[in-house]
Amino acid sequence: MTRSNQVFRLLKRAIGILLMATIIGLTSNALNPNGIPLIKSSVTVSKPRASSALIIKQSTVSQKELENETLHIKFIPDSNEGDSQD
Amino acid sequence: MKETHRIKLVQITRIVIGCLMLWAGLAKIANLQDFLVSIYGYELPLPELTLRLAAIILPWLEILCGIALITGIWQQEFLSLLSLIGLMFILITGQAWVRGLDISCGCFGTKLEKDTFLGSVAFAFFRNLVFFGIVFYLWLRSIAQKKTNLSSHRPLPRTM
Repeated sequence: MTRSNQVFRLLKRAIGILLMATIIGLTSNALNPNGIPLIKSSVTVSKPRASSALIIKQSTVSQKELENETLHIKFIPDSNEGDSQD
Repeated sequence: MKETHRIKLVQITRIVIGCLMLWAGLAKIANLQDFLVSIYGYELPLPELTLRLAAIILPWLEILCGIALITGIWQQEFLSLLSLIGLMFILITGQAWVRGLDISCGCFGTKLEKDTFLGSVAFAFFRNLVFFGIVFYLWLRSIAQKKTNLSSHRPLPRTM
């Protein structure tokens, strides 16, 4: 077997391994409920009214401290609006 | 060192590296979301989709490489891929270290590495250098071994 043939076979197999990893990864990710969605989902939070439950707590920590924190949003149905002000 | 001892040492190193790759891949798959957050931490100038695909594919590539190194299948191909991965890891951790990013490397699952020196990018950079050196040596050796095997199986030229 010539040198170029050897290099070609190595490349072919390396691409095959990459393809195999891609197929297994994408399949397992699709089957995994905690997998990563390929398209970034976005959430739009509209500006709350003054009486809204969203602004009942104001944090005193700086923005720097909150940079790597996860934001948990609790969705409150419209019927409860105004109930949770206290 | 005798050649037989050297061959044994190479085999043991190969299996150890394979086990490490298997561990790294499984730890990432167990916490895929955490791994994606670790990738975001490196602040790479790449499209969102590329980062997400990397988070999905890389752990499986590591697992495949680990299994291949342990079992000894397609040594040359898997070692060449691992050398490329090692080089990529060096560049990524190196740029994070130079930029002074205060992140955990995310190589073996974030829980183990959180807030420890073992999870810092500086340590990860040097660890990747050593890893690349070993894998590259194993790759060169596998090429040399293949050549030796081929030449030993070649029929002798006919003499008149």
